[in-house]
Amino acid sequence: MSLRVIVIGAGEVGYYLADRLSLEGHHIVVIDKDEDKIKRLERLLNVMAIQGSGASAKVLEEAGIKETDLFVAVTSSDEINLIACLLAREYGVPRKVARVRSEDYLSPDSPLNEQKLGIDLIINPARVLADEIVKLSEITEATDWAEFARGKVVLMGYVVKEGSPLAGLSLADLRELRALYDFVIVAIIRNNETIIPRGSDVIKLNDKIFVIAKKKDIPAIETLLGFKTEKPKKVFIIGGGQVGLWVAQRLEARKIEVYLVEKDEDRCEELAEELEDTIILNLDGLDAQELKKEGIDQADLVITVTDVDTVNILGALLAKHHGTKKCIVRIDRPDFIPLLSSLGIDVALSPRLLAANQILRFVRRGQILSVATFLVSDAEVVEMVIPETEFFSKGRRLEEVKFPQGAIVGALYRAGEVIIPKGETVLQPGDDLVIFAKRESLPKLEQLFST
Amino acid sequence: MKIRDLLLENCFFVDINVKDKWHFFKEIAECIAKEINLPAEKIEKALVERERLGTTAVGGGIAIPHSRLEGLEKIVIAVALSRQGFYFESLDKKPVHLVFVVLAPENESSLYLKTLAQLARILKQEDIKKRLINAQNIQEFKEVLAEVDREY
Repeated sequence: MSLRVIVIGAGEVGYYLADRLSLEGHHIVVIDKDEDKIKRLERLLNVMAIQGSGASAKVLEEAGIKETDLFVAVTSSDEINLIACLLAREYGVPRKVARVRSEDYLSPDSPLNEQKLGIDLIINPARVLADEIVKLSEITEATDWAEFARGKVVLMGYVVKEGSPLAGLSLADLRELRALYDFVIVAIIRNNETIIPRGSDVIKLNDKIFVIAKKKDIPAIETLLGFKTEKPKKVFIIGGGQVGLWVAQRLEARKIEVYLVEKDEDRCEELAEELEDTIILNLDGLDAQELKKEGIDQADLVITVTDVDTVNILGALLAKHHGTKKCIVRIDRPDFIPLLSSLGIDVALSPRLLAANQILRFVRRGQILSVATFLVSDAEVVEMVIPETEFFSKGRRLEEVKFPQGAIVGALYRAGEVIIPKGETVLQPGDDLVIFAKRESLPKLEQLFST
Repeated sequence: MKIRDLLLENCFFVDINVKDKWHFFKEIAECIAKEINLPAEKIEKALVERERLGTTAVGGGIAIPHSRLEGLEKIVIAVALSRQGFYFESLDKKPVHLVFVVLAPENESSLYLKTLAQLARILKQEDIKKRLINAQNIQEFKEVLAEVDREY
């Protein structure tokens, strides 16, 4: 079903959302005050762009607010986003999403929160980023991790390094291993290209592989494939902003030794009040000598979350140079992302893209249950329900269903049970499928599963 | 490589008498220990630790317990048959009649996975599986294996 969507704010989040939603065939109008941003949109995307304020009723009417299904306010101003959403509510827009940074609007006991404002989803990019960092810090070798089917199915991303038993193995060999290990490799990323592998494909050194399996089987699979998972013992966080503080709080609660590096002396004092066991270091994140003295070379994980991309990248590279095992880096400029894995950055996260993805997940709540996207790849994972159509009504073997090229089923969830399907597995209406799909195959997938 | 080349000839049991898989690991570890000159406790521990992550019984009366083992120099395989079958916590709840125990060096790369894949491939063939289970001695066992054990 094609939706009519208004997006206020053509920054990173707005641009990304407009791009993705228009590719999926929705009708998009973007509003922004900045003439340059409007021109860029008109030049690069197939959307309608209007210059003006999103908090102006006149502009919203011009954008067709009365017929709008979804309203997304993602300017850099909390107040504009909130007012725009209040206006949208008055016009009867059924679903409203706002990006809000201030904590004042986010707590359940705040005088103005999601419910009272009548907004369906309030997103705080910093919080989304902190959640993601904490999740990824649990796993030392996986570069990506997402859960599906109520947490029973996971998708893991790993880089095949020197000495990995996977290098040189064909997908056909791995398929035989399914007698012992129930997993599928749904994609290989090689030279920035996403390959949905076939039996004859062979895994090579430096490939990144995406594996789908039952969550309970992951320890055995990691042992077999030579990927180790441990809770980090010693973590350095560089950047004592909101994200750094949140991450430190969550990690220290899990009895991990945390060092938080912050340049600003006053901020250090504030941090000391908020944190209990974390050691706060009043240092520059690029001061290699001092950081080494504090033992950054012994750290399992370094998280760089200052406001400056270059500091984050350099800080992480320095730490890795000194012997840190893994780094997670905050990146605001998406242009840098393709560079990072070749530089040796293990995980790069963009708060804006994470926020945008959360919004996409919300938008697709009807047909697609959830979605996870990956920075390194032009693919995503979607959960879809098999409809009660004539084609599926009597059950269909997986090999009978014509999936679009670039899409592969990783798992099936039925009545609380997870099945990692094979060609002969029968799909039934109501089954929930976890599908890894290249972006261009998404519209065809939706067609296949539409009622 | 071929499966036949990895078999420990002195650790081939035509009819092993054990009460369950934990008992089996103890028995087989003692036999393997003599062949590879590593302590039996270490071998048993490696197999038990792997088993705790999830059963290695694949159903249809077959189990393939396996692990990496520090200090081991090359991949080795021990085989045990059981006429009566013994309890292995298989997903299909059936007793196990044929067990391949695969041990690999710590740093063994793709050969370890290829060996497991090869075993899985061979054991998918029902008639071969039956004849392996009914083999009277290691010669007969190897002859049946030779029919399907192609180079990998």
